[in-house]
Amino acid sequence: MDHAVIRRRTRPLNDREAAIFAERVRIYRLALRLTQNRDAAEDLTQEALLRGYRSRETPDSWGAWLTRVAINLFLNETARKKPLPLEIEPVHSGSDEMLAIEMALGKLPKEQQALLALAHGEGLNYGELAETLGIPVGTVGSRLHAARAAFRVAYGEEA
Amino acid sequence: MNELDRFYREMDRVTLTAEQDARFAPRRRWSWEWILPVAAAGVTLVMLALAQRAGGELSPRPMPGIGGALPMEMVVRPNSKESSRIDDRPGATPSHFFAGSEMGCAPAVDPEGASS
Repeated sequence: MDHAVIRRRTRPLNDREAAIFAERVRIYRLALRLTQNRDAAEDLTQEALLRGYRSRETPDSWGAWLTRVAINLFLNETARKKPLPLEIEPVHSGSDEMLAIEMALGKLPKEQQALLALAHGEGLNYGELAETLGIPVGTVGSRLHAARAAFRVAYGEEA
Repeated sequence: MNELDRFYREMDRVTLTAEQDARFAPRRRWSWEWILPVAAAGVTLVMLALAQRAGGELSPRPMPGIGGALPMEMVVRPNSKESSRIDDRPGATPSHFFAGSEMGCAPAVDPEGASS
C-alpha cells in the first residue's frame, strides 16, 4: 500500500488512541502465539484495537485491557469459525521441533493454549494470569499444571 | 517447558509492515472520499422530490396495460372520450363522427329538417 494512501486513511492520534496504538505489536505477537496464523492474528489484533478505540473505558493499563480482549476474542470468536488452514509459511523458524510444538499445541483446548501463551509467551505471573483470565489466583496454578501436562503428552506424541 | 519458551520467543522477532500499521490505526471519522458521494446523492434525491411535487414528470410513464415504457412518440394518449372513438373507416370524417355523436350534441346536418 502506498504511504500516501495510508496517511489519507489514518489521522493524527489523540493521547488515548496513541496509548492503544502503541500496544499493536505486542497484541499482534500474542495473537500469533494464540492462532499460529498471520491472517487470523491480523484480524484478531484489528478487532481488539478497534474495541479499544471505541471503548469509553479508561483502564490503568491498555496493555492488560487489550490482552484480555484479545484472549476473549480468541476463546469466543475463533471457536465459531472453521478451522484455519495450515499456513504454508509457518510463523516460526519452521524447524522440526517448532513444527512438533505447533502441532502439539493445536491438540489442546483453547483455554489451555491461551494459558500457556500467556504464561510462557507473555511471561505473566499468577496474579496477572488470574486477572487476565478472570479466574481466582488459586485456580491458576492447577490449570497451568494441567495445561503443561497436556502439552507434554501431546508433544510426546508429535516428537 | 523450555521448548515452549523457545517456541513463543520466535514470535518476538515479528515486526509489522506499513500496511499492518495502517490497518491497526484508527480510521478517519470524516472523509471526503465518502462524504461527497453521499452529499451528491442526497441533493439529487431532494431535487427529484421537489420536481415531482411541482407537477413535473421526469420520465415517461408506461401506459396501463402495455406493461412497458414506450418511446414518448409511440405512446398514444387519448385526451378525451371523442378521440378514442374516431371512426377510421374509409370515407369517415370528423364531421361524420360528430353528426352521429352519442355525446348529445346537435347533428351538424339534419337531413330531415332540410326536407321539411
